[in-house]
Amino acid sequence: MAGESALEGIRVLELGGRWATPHCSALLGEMGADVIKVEEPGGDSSRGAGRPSRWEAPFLAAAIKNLPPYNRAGSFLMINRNKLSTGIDFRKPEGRELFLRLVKVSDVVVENMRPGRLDKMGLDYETLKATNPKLIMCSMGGYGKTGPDRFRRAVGITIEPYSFASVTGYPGEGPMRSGVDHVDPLSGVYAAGAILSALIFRHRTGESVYIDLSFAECAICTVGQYVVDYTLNQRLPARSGNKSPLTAPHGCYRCKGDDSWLAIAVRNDREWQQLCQVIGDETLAKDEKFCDAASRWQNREELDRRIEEWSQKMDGYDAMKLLQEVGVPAGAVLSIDKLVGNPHLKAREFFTEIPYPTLPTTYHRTFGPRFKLSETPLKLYRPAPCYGEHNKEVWVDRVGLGEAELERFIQNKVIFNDPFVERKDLF
Amino acid sequence: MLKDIKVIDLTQGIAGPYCTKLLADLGAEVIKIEKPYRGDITRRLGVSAQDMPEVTTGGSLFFYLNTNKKSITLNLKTGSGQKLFKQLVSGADVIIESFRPQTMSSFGLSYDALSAIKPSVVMTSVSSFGQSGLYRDYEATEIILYALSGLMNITGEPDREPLKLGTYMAQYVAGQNAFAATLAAFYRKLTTDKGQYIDVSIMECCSRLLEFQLSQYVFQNYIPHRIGYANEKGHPHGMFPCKDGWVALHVRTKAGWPAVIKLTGIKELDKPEYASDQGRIKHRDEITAYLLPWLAEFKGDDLVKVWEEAGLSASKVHTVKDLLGSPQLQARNFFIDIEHPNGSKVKSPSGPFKVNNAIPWRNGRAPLLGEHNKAVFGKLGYSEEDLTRLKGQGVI
Repeated sequence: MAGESALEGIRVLELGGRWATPHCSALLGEMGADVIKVEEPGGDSSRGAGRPSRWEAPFLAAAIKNLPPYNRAGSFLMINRNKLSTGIDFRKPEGRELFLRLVKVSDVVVENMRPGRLDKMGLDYETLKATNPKLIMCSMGGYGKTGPDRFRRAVGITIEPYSFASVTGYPGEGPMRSGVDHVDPLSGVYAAGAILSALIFRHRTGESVYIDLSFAECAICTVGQYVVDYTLNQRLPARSGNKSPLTAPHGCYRCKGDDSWLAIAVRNDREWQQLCQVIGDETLAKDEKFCDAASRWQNREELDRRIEEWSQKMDGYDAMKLLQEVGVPAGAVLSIDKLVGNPHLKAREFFTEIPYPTLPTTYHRTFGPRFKLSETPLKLYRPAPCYGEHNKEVWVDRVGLGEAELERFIQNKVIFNDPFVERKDLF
Repeated sequence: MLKDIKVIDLTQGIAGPYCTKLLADLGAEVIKIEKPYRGDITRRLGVSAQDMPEVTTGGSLFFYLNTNKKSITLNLKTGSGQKLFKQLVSGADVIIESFRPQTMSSFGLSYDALSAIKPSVVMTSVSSFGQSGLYRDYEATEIILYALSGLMNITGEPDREPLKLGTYMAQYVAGQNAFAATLAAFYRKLTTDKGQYIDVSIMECCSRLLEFQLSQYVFQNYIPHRIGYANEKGHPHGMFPCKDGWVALHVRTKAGWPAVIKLTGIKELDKPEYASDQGRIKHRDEITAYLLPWLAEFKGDDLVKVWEEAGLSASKVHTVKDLLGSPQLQARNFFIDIEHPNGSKVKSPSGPFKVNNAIPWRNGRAPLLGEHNKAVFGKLGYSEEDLTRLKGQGVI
């Protein structure tokens, strides 16, 4: 790792779990940071070892039988690459003391613990900063650390209503939710950006930084143009399905096969003429109803029908290729299996393989780098960790405990390698 | 926070400018290079009929995306324009561009050429599909990117077309990723004084969001489909109508379902087959049918209140007007006032986080086209006469 990563030498502690915070620290890990998941009894709840009355069981990596379920929860494996794991009980004073020792040798703490919980345990920012005066801490929560909603819990579906929900869906119908929960990874990447900004700031000033990030505010930033438009022009946006307010054709067109679709977006007369040529319908190209941008938009419903007459005879990928060859924006709507098999992503090495935790010769497909850095590329150093897999690496190698000392803490149930120890009365 | 970072910004549209907006709003000096006379294409999008060209900073989209940036005009198709650009590079830390791949090379301004002038420069290219691969030269707009990324296929209703979101989500996602990537490279440069080249593909940034779906596919061989307002993780977990609008409802934990039964008093919900998330997903439509009349009795704000008091999660679907009136967002001073050149005050989201209990985001406006020609080129030693001449010669 030496000399080849952007965040070489930076240690990140992750508290909490599920998606947004782990997504953030995973990206920092790919950038070369040393990332440690500090997991309580029960662990990251997406492992499925939390209180059984609380969470539904996650789906598991079905093929792997020789790992306990909490070490092969599907989305946990996909999200938590490049991290070490230690199990620790913050409710015990020794646990809190140990954690402070770990903070002292780390650079960043990123957390999405239940609002107020860290404060209650005496592990608030001021305390951590006293231990480590150069600490960068990023707290992530639904609504932020201040304001009347600061104790409200949040998940992706309850944050979308603050953002793009009102503008997604069909005219005259209700708001549609996004099929992928955008809010979590969106917030995770904003948090990574915030932490990187703080590292740059700290490099210049030597100062500690506390970041207070709100998922709702992250989401609202993606509809900022509507806020500006409302105050500038008193216009409120309306839901418009897949349609453009200016151009046509614009939308999804059915193709041959089961649930196969092609997105097409014609921006100008040149692209329109090219589309007509590909379709091979001269009457379409000469039809006055579609002769210019304004007319095409006026008659967009009929236009859509005419285009679909053609597209439903075509394979989606074939049609996309024909249109792109003449410079018409077109894109097949890809399902996850088509995405994984996509030839462009293959050429880009967007997907790769990674072993299961503690099973170095058994691989599964995973994401490769999401962007390409020429000198310090994003790297996968290790798979997602088993619960408490790295107690020795964390407490002996990094914090400096003796091996016998660590063993005593495990005997006394302060540090764990089993998420079920001391799990009751967690919440 | 990011003062002392000097950025040359060649981006236009949405993804690239959103990246440089984040940099500018956090204090970096961002010099936005625009085509003479025309400028960034988004200047002309959504302009209100009342806007006066000579005092407009473009439509709302341009205004939002280009706060705190300086604008200069430069014609990179001319040799003199390219020379001027190279002069600017000597004083820059970061260059960000979003031209079609190979465009910068065609200007003689590839990363190789520019890093020869300034080895510590970080250069980020944001493009639809990346600087390599089968789709490198494909044309794309938001809907095309959303379709090819895999995100669109699972949004919308099962018996209708795939649906895109009502904002430029693909491009915002790419912009925030380019921001993180650029900062990582800049941080590295602080210790090594060596720059690097960053290739950001909008499609890849978006496909990366499919972590849950990829793990379902890889570990369970399962391919998800569109399910409309519903959710594969449980029920109720989606948008529902109430008396005066819509709310998102979530049961949150296993203890949540008994809480729903208690709260609503709807005895029909107390069936054993509804007890688990999987069971409720199976009987989704029946459960929704029971809930709707009860929900219809509540206004959104009241519904959210009683639902959360019962230990569950909910939110009202906010319009922009609702957002501006939200007590939480007001308490956070989330919206800031920005001066518009026509004299009015514009409200805009500041940014998604606070730093050391303060707002780290600047509140400057978007620039007029070429507003900073005199200041920026003046610093390089060009007089007003020089600039008049260069303008006449089509260089700026």
